[in-house]
Amino acid sequence: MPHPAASRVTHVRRHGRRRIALAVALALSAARTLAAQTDFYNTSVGRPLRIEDAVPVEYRAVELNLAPVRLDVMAQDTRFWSLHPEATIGFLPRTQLQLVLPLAYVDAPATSAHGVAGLDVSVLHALNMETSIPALAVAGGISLPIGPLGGTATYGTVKGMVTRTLPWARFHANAQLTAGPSTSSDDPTTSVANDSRDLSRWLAGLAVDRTFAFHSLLVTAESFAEQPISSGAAVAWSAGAGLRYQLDPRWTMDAGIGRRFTGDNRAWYVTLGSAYSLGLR
Amino acid sequence: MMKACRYVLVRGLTASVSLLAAISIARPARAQWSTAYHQFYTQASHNWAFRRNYPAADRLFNAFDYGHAILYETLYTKPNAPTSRLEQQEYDFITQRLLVEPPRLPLEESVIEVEYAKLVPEAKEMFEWAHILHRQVYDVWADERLSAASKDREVHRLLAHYLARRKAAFSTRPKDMQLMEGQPYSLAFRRRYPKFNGLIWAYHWLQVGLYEPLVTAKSSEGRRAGVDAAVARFRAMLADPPRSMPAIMPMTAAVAPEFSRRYPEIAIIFDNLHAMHDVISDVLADSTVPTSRKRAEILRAAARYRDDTSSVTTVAEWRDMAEEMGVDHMGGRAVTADQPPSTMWTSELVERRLRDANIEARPLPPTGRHIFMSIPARSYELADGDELQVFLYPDSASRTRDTEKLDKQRVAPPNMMIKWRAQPTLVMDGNLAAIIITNDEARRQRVRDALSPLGKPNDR
Repeated sequence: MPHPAASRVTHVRRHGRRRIALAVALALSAARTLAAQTDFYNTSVGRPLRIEDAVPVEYRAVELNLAPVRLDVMAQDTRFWSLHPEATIGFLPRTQLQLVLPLAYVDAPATSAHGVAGLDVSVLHALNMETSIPALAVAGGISLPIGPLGGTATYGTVKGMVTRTLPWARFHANAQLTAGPSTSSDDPTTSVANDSRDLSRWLAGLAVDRTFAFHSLLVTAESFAEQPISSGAAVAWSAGAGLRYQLDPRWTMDAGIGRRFTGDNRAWYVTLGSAYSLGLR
Repeated sequence: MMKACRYVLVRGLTASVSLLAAISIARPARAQWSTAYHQFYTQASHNWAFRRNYPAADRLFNAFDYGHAILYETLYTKPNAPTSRLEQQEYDFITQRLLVEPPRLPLEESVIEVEYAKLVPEAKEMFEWAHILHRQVYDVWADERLSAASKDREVHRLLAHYLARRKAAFSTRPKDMQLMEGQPYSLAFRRRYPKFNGLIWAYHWLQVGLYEPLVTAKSSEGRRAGVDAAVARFRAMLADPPRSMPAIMPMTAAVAPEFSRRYPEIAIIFDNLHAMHDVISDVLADSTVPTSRKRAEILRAAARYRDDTSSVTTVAEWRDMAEEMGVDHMGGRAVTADQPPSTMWTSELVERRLRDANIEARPLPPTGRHIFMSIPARSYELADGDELQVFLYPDSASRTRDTEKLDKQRVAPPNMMIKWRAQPTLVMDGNLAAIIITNDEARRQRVRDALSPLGKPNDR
């Protein structure tokens, strides 16, 4: 029987980690559309939502997310803080490589832990540029069990993304599958660790965004369902909203808020981050 | 409760995916698979220097983004809209609001030209790639930390980087007017939307006109004054549209002659870019090109502007064309504040230019004047017996009176046969006319370059 606090931590972590894992799978998805000057238009996993567009960073671009922070507020005064430093590189046309090294801190009434929560490496490749055919992209990534909160197993994730642009909004659909062992709620230590890596057995969701071009502002909302990696866990449904705002040609900031409405680990979460863009020489 | 939630979730997702699928397969007849892609600008210490040092001019470019984008989107998605949609509604918005208070950042054009961007992402990417070159060259010349030699090196590095993307780069070979004005759809846009067309040409004038003060001014103060003067000239073009606007497409060789002499390949790229802007406007505006064929026509034109073979003309002819069309009709020559345009050609200046270019030119004894010129020539013997004849008039109007009567190709009056010892080439600028008589193409080009239009730093 897991300790109640451990169970809560698991929830929180999964939530945050899920983002990380997604970020992993999607990793590269720091999808931005046009020139880096309009980076606000390109969403990526966790920046600010989990559902992203089907566009990679530009070829020869480097995007650094140095300290994007996420806070999950769960039941019984349990809080899960995470930092997701990321580097995304457009190393080939329509293709990006992303590295994520999540750092986590769990603050529960009876338990606290902090440390590196795995290492995520992923590649995203856009199959096309949107025409009358939607933008399509695929991604693959691995999540390695590195660090005190990095769990014990390696996971592989594949993901598909679709983006359709209409004059009044963009729509995005994401679906992903993860291969790797299910965690057992009978082993609190393992469960907490793996959950902290934000892994889901599967995830599917939609997002819509609206751009205010003259203000370099994008407002977005999403809804997605996921099957937690923990064995026996219920499907969880989440919804969130956020924005991305271009501060100057190189800096973009994002913020988001969301709620996991169903599942075993219901929680509110908020994110705040910024990205710095530069190019390869 | 959980079952109900799951039911709602599954049904909601199913409906959403169905909706997205329906949206996605819309208009399958025009489905096109495009593998165009975006590429980041070259990382360099001069990145965004123009934005830092000339914020007012830089912000204008952000407004220009909107003008181009809304133009294409309107022409494509609202082909039956009244002319006033662009000529009044959008024009007024742009000139009375957007250009008065331009956006602080470059706009995400695909948000404004949503359907156009999906129609031809390949052409859109060509524009973006050329616009990046535009902006990066501004940055180089706006960076006061760089020496002139360093600026030249950087610009050539940027050019090589630009040209490496063959599927997105415009040709460095000049194209003749047939490509822009000799197609079935040509002129459709400018005839129907003269005011908006003038606005686009005013944009293009400023985009190339800014280079001239940046390249020719001797100091940062001079560059700043020159940029301010160019912006002021641009704004004056909007004062009484379309009369005050350029009447023909501004050509870089005429508007920014020293920049064009220094970087002819880049100047040609920008002229090809601006010409293709006009071509796309025509394709979209021409009702005889059905919607189903617009993508194909634009891609065909784009391929012609990328290759080095279609409708190619020589650099000399390109310069001549720019000169003959009349820079005054293009919005005027861009000048710097510390180099007034009143500088005149003199024999001393001609000879200094030739010396600076390491061209051997020995003055020849005076001879009688040509029967088709009102003043005698001052002649120079070049290598291998070639010759340069220089005519220095008291002003450009006097020179124009003589040269406008000539067939520029034969350098002779249209009804007169003149037998030259070798191939003649006419050079005109301000109060100068010159005839280069040689069969050596390299030498011809060197002399032409040496006699490039006034405005070089040491011309006075």
